[in-house]
Amino acid sequence: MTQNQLTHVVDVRPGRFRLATLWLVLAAIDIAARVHAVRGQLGGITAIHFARWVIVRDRRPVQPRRHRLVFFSNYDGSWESYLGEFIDRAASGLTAVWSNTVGFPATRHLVLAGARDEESFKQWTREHQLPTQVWWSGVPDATVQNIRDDVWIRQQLSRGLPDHELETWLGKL
Amino acid sequence: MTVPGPDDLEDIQGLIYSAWLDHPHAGFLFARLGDDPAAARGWLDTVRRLVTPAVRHRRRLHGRLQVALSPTGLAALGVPGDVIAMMAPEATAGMAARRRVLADTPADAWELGGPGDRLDALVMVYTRDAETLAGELAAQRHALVAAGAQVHADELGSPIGQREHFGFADGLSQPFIAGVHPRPRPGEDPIPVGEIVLGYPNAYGRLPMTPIWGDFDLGRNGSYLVFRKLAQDVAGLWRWVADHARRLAAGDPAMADYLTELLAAKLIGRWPSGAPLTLAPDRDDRSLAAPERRNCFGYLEHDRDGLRCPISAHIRRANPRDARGGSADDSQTVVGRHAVLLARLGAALTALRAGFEFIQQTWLANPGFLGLHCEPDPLLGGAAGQGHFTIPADPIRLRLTGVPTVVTNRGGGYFFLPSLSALARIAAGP
Repeated sequence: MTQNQLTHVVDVRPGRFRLATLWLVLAAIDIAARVHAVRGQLGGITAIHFARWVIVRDRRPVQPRRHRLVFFSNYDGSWESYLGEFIDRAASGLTAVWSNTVGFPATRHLVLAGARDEESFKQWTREHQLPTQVWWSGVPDATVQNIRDDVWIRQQLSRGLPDHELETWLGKL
Repeated sequence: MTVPGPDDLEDIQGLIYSAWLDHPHAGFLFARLGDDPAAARGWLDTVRRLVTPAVRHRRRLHGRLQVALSPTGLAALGVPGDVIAMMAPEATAGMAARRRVLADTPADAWELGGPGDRLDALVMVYTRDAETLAGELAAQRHALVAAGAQVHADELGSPIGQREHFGFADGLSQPFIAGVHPRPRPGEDPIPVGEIVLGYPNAYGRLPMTPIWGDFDLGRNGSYLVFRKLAQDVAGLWRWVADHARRLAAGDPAMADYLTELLAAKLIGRWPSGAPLTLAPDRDDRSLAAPERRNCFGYLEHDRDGLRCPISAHIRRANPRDARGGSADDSQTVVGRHAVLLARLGAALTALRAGFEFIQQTWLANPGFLGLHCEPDPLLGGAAGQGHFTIPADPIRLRLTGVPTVVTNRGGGYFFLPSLSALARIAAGP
């Protein structure tokens, strides 16, 4: 299995402050991603095809009214490896998002601790995960790295290669 | 306490300290315990006194004995369900339920641990000769049956030489556990005790989750144990390799022989002696298989592109060393968090999800490992004839197609290897 999917739903902490913070953090990540994450990696993680957070209104009859945060991601390799990359490379960003949700491991100053608490973070993720019933991938056998390599091979071909670069190009085939 | 003290070494089962290679005859009894927890506890209370600890002076003369219990076994011995629920969820789910993660064949055909075949207890016996082994296994079987257990036929480990069945030296690259193993060999990086033994800080500096029974920590000084029964198609592997070698040699028999050995070594990443291809790219060199040299290499400096040891070679996938991607230090940090301690062909001590399952799913069975495409591990990737194997070369790679299934899983299970004091606590009952 080359690609896997993660669907995760968790309640946003009650109160307008948390919702506003979450909205701001997601808006900031959205801008950063449009600028920085256009070369096959997201926050230093190279195994993500797609990642999306959506704030949805909780329609269940609970008081006070609250919101939920849904996270979808298509990624390469194993859950354990993906979560490990979260912790090693993107802990601050993720903690900034999920510290506004219920049950997330204790956080300091919005971005510290949190996702760095490895076992608690993985346990929390598992508890809020939903089985993915269906997902679609245009290239189910390809990793992000495969796609980047393929794009590179094609680009070099149309550019006309000098001899010394031909070796590198052949090595990628 | 970050490493085990002297009392802890008397408490930890010896298998964590040594694979007992000086006791080459190994036998394994898999049992389903009876319905009477008191009778099962009576059996455990007797056998626990024979269990070999990690310290030298408490070992018996004529053999080594270790006892592992699965979550169903703990239940059969009367350990409460809420205590068992604190164990690793993979252990409770069982190996057969982890098929998608492990890229396993359907469990229906398993000889061990398939549907309806509950493996509660595993008794492991190690001796210096076959006769002693037969006697010890018969005695242990008798004790189990007398307590109402059903016991599988003896599983015998073939007497361990230095080679596995395909003909290659095996178990050469083992994690060195600081505070348990006496001293590292050159090229062995120490990993924290907590990566293998519960009750100590792991590589994140945290204590792993552990089952607590009342005020007793059932997990401390214990470890999870993975048992796999694997069938190796020795003729199949060598036939496939020789076919490709003959084709490439184009009628030169001496060349075909050389290429047969070279292609097989490329699949493994080491020559039959154990010399790594990264150090000995063209022919086997026994001097590089010596314990002080065989692990003294990384891939980034001399073999980044896999021109010597292919990216997809078995040893490079199972232990990517410094070449997992990112910097060498980053890579080694991550690799150090995912370790298994091989105890004998088929048995390993490890964190289940972060250790055994991680290596199997993320590195071995992953067809997209480090930029490869549709290329699972040639031995343990479960490709079933669909995969290929890429050998990087100058000017262009060689690709071998139709990698056959040469290793088939015939069953197995996830167990817990409790400390000696935890065995006593379980035997004492609720």
